Amino acid sequence: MESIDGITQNGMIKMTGVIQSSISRALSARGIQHIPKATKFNVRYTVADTRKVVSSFVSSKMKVKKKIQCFYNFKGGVGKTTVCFQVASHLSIMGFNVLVIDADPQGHLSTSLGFDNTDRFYTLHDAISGVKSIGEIIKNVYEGLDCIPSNLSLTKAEVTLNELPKREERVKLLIQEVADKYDFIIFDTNPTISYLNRNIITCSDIINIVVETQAYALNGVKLLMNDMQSFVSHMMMEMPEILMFPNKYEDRSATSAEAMTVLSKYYSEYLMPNFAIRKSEEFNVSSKLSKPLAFFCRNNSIAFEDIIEVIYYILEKSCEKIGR
Amino acid sequence: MGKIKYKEVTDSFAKIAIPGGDSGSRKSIGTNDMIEEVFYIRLDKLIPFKNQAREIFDEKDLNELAESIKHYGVRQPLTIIRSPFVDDKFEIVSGERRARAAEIAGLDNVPCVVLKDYNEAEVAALLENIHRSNLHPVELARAIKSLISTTGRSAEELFKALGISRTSGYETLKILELPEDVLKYLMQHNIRDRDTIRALQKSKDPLKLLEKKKTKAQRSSSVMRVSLKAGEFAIQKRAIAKLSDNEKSKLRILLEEILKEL
Repeated sequence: MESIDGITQNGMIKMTGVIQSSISRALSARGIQHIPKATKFNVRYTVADTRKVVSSFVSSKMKVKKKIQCFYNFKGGVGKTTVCFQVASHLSIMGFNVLVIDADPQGHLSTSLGFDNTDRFYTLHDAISGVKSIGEIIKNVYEGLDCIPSNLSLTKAEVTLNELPKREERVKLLIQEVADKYDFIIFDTNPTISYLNRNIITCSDIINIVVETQAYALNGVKLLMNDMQSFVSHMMMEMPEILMFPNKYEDRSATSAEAMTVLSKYYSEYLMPNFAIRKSEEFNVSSKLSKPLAFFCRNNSIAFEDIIEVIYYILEKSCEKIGR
Repeated sequence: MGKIKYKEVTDSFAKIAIPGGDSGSRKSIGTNDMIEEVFYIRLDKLIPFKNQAREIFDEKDLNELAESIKHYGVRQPLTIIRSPFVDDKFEIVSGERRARAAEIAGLDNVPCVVLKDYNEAEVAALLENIHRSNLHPVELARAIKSLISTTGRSAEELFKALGISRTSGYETLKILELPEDVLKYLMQHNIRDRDTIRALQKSKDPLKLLEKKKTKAQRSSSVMRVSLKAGEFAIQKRAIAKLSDNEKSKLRILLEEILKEL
């Protein structure tokens, strides 16, 4: 079956939390037709149309207060990029204007967004070094989602940053130029302590920490929190808000359950109560297809369900409700 | 979701995963230029800190330190700050003992870390002195009191920064309610045990109590008694347990001399 890049009504229900009839009424009120190629059993709507419908239930009722966010951890392989890609792409499908910035020279987020990292394109390094303006390096992925892709050339940013004045605040200065155009600016970071990551911490309103529910990952978090504390106190800045998302939770695994106990005991202030992103093959499929879950997942997808919960938690922490 | 299971954490897991403890001293990238460097500063550029907490400098102690400095140099840098009151001088935030000893040892300059913020300096000075060698409780109390008035921080904030508990912090401050003569006596005779100080605080006339203690100290008392009865020795030594460490070591030397004679 040929896949169609679109969203089902069921997907919209999950994203808005309203009942079926509200969605179909919203669709017909706007005269929205499904994508013609769709079969009887696979009725999907374009991203642009979905944004119109979903935003009337979600984004139009919120005012974003904490716009700049990052996914950070210097433990690798915990699922930063995966969760970042899902959160950013679904936020945009839900009607927010999102800029997602790949700050990892491995460029896996860019791959998820459909860039081939052997291609030639400008990266964040070109903006940091002043070769291009930040506006010139932004690429559009689909309506509502822009990105700054990355490839190995981004590793040069370390040297460049080191030679610049205010080397911890370069990215903050760059982002200010385009910040007004977006509801959210989301960074995916690489798993190191680097000047580039320092820059991102300095400009973030919220730091999302994805933690694998395993012993080493928790050990990494312990180091991470120590390091961030010392960094923000040296920079004399306020600690950004921190949200933690346990990831790759396995119901049958004893270590997962132990990890959840440690997390809820020592980091409960950062956690959504009784929540973890469950391990799911669908995340891997999503990366492989370079498509957000909503484009292909089944109606009862647990991965999609968990990501929507993550998004609502982030929205709760970063937005103010407006209107009714 | 509500499907999360929790399980008691095993020791091996806890050892790796639970936060706290070490690693505060790691310095990592991006913070380098905020960390103070060590400079060698001429001794004649250094003046005492205006809020020096330490009031007692023991001569013997200084000479010992000077002797060690002659051999090994100043091993730990002093903390200093540019004086806001005297041009071209640095105030010694912590390490005045080291500076004096270095002078005795005939050094020209000493390694120093230069602090940037004067307000921070006062807390830092006290902190280092508390941690390095034990300040007399009266000195500690005076220093905290002066910090409260100069920095405008609350007492509890300072206790926290100094790493002392709320109760013992307030107890220390309360010492200052004793009459000045008593405080002087306490410092001169290095009386610092809690029981004595508490007894003084409770008594209506602490000076009189001190006099009593003094006379008691001068009275002679039996420490141990050796008696011989029908060819068997009996030793009473219960009082030894009540001796201070200092007294015990004196006694040990005496006893060893007796042993040699036997």
